[in-house]
Amino acid sequence: MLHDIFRKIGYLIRRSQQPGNAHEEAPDERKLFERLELNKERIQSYYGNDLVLRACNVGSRAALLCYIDGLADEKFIGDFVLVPLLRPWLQQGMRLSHIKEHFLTAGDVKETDALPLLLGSLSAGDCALLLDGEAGALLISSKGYARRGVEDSTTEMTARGPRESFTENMRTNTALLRRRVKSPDLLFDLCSAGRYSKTDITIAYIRGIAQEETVAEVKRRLAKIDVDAVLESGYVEQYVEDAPYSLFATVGNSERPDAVAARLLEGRIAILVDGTPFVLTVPCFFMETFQGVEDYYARPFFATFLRVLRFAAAIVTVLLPALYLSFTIFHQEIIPTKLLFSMVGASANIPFPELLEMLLMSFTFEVLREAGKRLPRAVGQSISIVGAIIVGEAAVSAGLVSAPMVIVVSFTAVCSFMVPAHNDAFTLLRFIFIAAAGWMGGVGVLLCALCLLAHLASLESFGQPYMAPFFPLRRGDLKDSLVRAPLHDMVARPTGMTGNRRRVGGNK
Amino acid sequence: MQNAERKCRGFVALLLVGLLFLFAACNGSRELYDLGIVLGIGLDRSAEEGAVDMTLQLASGLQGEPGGGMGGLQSGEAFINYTLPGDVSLSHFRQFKLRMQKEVYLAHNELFVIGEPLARAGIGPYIDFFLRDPELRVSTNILVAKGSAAELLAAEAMLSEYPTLSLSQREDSYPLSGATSRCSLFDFVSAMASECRCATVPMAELQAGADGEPISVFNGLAIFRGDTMIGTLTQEEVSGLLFLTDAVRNGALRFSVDGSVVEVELQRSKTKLCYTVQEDGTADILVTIRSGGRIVSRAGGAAERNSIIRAGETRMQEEMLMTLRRAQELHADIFGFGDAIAKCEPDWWEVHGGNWEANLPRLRFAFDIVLEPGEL
Amino acid sequence: MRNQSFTPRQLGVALAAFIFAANRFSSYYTETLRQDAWLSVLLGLLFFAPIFLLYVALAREFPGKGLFQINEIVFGKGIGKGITVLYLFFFILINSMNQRYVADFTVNTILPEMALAPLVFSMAIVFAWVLRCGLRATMRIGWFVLLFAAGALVLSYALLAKQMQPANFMPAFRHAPVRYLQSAHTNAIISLGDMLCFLPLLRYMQPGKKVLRPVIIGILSGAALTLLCVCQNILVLGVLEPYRLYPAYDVARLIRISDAFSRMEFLFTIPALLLFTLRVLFLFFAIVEGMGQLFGIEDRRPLLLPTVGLCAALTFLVVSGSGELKAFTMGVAPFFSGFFVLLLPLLTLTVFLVRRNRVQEVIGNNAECREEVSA
Repeated sequence: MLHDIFRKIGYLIRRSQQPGNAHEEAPDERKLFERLELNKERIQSYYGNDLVLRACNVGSRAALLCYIDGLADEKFIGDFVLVPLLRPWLQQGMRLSHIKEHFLTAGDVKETDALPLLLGSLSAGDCALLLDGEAGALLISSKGYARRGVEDSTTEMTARGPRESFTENMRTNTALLRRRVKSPDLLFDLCSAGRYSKTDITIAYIRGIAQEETVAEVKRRLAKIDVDAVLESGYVEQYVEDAPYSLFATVGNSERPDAVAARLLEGRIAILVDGTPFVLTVPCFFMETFQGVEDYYARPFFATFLRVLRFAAAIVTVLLPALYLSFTIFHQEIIPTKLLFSMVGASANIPFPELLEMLLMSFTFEVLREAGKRLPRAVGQSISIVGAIIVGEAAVSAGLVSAPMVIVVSFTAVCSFMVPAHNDAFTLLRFIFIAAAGWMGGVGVLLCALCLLAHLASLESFGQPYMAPFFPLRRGDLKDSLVRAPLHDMVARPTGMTGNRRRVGGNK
Repeated sequence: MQNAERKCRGFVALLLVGLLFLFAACNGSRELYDLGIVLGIGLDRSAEEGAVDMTLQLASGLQGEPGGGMGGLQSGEAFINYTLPGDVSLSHFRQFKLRMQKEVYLAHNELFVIGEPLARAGIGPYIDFFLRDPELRVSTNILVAKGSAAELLAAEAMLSEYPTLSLSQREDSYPLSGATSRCSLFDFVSAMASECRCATVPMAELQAGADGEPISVFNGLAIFRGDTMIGTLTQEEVSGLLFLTDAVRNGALRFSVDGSVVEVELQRSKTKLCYTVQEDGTADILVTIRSGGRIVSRAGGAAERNSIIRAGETRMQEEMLMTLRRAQELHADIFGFGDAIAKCEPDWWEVHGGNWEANLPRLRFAFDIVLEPGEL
Repeated sequence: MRNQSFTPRQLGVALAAFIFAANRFSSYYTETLRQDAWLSVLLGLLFFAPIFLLYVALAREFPGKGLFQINEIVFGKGIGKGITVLYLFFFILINSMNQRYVADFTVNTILPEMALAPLVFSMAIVFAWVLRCGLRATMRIGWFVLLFAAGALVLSYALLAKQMQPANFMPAFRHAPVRYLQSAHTNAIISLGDMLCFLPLLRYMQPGKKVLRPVIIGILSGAALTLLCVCQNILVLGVLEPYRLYPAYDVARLIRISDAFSRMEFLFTIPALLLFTLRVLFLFFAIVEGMGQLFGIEDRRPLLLPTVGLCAALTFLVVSGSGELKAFTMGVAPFFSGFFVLLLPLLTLTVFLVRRNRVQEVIGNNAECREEVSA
């Protein structure tokens, strides 16, 4: 006891001498004290009025149960922690380990003597049991904070297939994955990031399929994250990606457990971030933009058709305005004569040059789209549609823009909704291509396309070429690229992501 | 240090991109409304010595008002014809630009119409001028007008509201009509570049229509040696040319046999020519034709099938002989016999090719014609 | 510089694209042989075979080394750098001429009202960007560019089938033998010999079991596509072919699908332009590699902008127009390029064979030094 007092006095003196982080402690001060009062004071200094301290006696020894109001499940604590503890037949001098092994009926119970671990567990929703005279505590899992249930995915809707999507709770998410990959080779490695948020991050991979080097690289990059907080998987994405200055994200994400499970089975690694339903997957490929999870549930020919359609839509959304512009102001010879007459007639009284007209219309559309996202759901859709129609119609009637221009921009907009994953990149590219077309017509578009192609071909995602299987050409992987071969033809996993390539046959 | 380097690089990159915009006026972009879309070009011999009246037909309703002091100005509802005398040159086109306040845009030009007087004088310099223009198509059709090209361009259009488009479409449809051939700028220049071949260009003239208004009608072909027109083929002689150049796609035969007048529509025809050269500089040409079709009408008489076939074959031969005689009269190899012989008998051609035009009348022809019409 | 490695197969594709690009719209062989121009392609291949064997011999004797490294090993550092300067001079000149050709072609056909300077400047920025992306990325997109261009050629064959006249190949073999030699020499040195620019890049090639096979297939594919292109020009243009500066472009102008679609030569020009920029890019990589070797700069990135700027500036100075460029290509280039394409590599190989033991000793010492350093 004296020893504890001296330690405490020493700690208080040192703390007063060092301005700055009030809670910086000497290494030995990260341990719990034997005296309950000291531990209580210490814990109280970290939390506000949401800390609940329940004093009790276990046998004849004073005990303290701590938990955070709102994070812990009080009913669970009452039923599975307090009830077993408050038994009159508990022996005197019982140790924590004995209580853990013989009396507590809760499932997940850990013993620790580290204060940071105790504080972290309290913040996560666990409760801690401290005994007077023992420099340790039991951490009992009792998470009971409000959480959203498993619902339909709002960003990746499908006509056929499971409806479940990830939630903000990481444990629920891991459970959803475990349900789909029941093999014990599905491993979850836990780490955390964020000095203040201490966000839990789980790395999921299938041993024997995922490459160990890639897993190690993921862990290395996650360990390098040194920020105040990681509030969403997007933070993690931007800190671990290979090309942070590129328009294209080299880290994939999905809200669907079936999609993530399929990617795990191809040799990828999933990064689950607590607090967000979007799970990251690496390595990521550009072609994933055009591949939906529903493609594998539908017939191969229709799935192929849909992929080609999405790819064509992507090309249209990026290139159509630029090509229209280059044909109308540089290469008018390509336009059929009669169409040219109607276009000339339509643009006869427009005061603006075509380039400015295109930029105005594109910008207007982006404003409408962004505004539509922020409107309340009840009125959002109607106002978007009506606004777009009225704006388009009024602009044409007023002679501000020509009707062909409105058609081109509208069609471009519709096509952009077919590939939402890269919508941001494609939007910016569209403006770049428009500028290139206005500068040098078709030659400008060509040079810009060459730059884009070279950039995409140079991107990598965790050691894998981003544009695989096209750049470089991997003929074996073309079966599941723009086309979707029948499932029984897809016998191998993608090249380069795993040494264990065979995925059909060989069942033991 | 790295930061400073990055900033330097970023600055240089921005500077380079910014410099691009200094070239803002150098890119040659044109707004749609600034274009004077030319659909047809007519060339006539001017009253002024050495000058040429150039007529441009532009799509109307899309054009600005012309400036004052124009030459001739004709207008239909959908088109405007501008005529300006001068020499076909860059400055001549610049005059159009000044007066129309629009850029003369030749990429959609469908037709050249050359007045016959100018064609007989020679059109080489004008062809050369237009051939060098990067906008103009070499697939543009050429037509010779019996009379004035400007008048032909102003005549009422049949298939389209634009006379040039109508004329051009009719020329393009020669396989269906079987009554004329097609000559593009490419074909014309190829013939000019050839050692001995003469180009044939469709001719059109104005005739009074049902309502008294003049309409354009195709009638015969003009024969050019080099860039100068030297003669014509009548409408009857055109079909012989088509047979001999294997250009019949939908021909028509009309002949009498045993008191009945028979019309046969030729739907398939294949011509092969076999050349046997002689030491005296002449050649024997075997014309083999296999034709098929259907008998469209048979009025009067009760001719047998075999008689009809023989009469049809005879008629085909007569038409070809008619054309051959005309070509021989003019010493004009409009069929490409010389080119073909030069390719398959180059040694002989090296010796006798120089006298080909003189030897043309001495060519001998044999015919092997098989006509297989459909069931009676 | 990172991102420089490539596979033998990618090299083969790059070679095919490089050769095809040289002949896609050019006409330097038609004036000599006219309707026999197709023969110049085949004879050119034959003439090039010994040169190719020479390159193979050099590459085999120095595996994993580029041309400029080989110079320094064989001739010593001083003379080796001097030889490198000669090669650099050649590549820079050829690069500038190629850029001028592309720019002239674009200005003469597609953008007639555009000034040359902004076009060259814009292209320079694009080249700098693609160079920065690395050789690996450029090699990766090679197959796409080649397929795109080849597809356009095949499509044009289908669309122009009716206008093709096989008789345009006649009369065949009527020219003097010296003209066939001249044309074959021109073809071998200019369209095939410029492949020399890949020799400096061989150091980045990933070692593989089959290297020669994809390279030979690539060269033959490029020659086959060139042959198709030349044959199309002859079949369609006939007697007009020798008079056109860009015969393949004129062929594309004749494409007419219906009344509505008859002026689409621009669409057929796009793949050819892409192909040509790829050719210029490979020359740039060779130049940057040479500069790096010359000045001892491992990281090539600082060299990109100066190289691109230098070549862009030279584009305006090297020739005054397309006519002069064609005259140079027909008259001077076969001999001028022949010195660099044939004589210099032959000299290198000869000196190596004479000084073989000494050179291998040097290589062995260098390898030991590297091991010591890495240990």
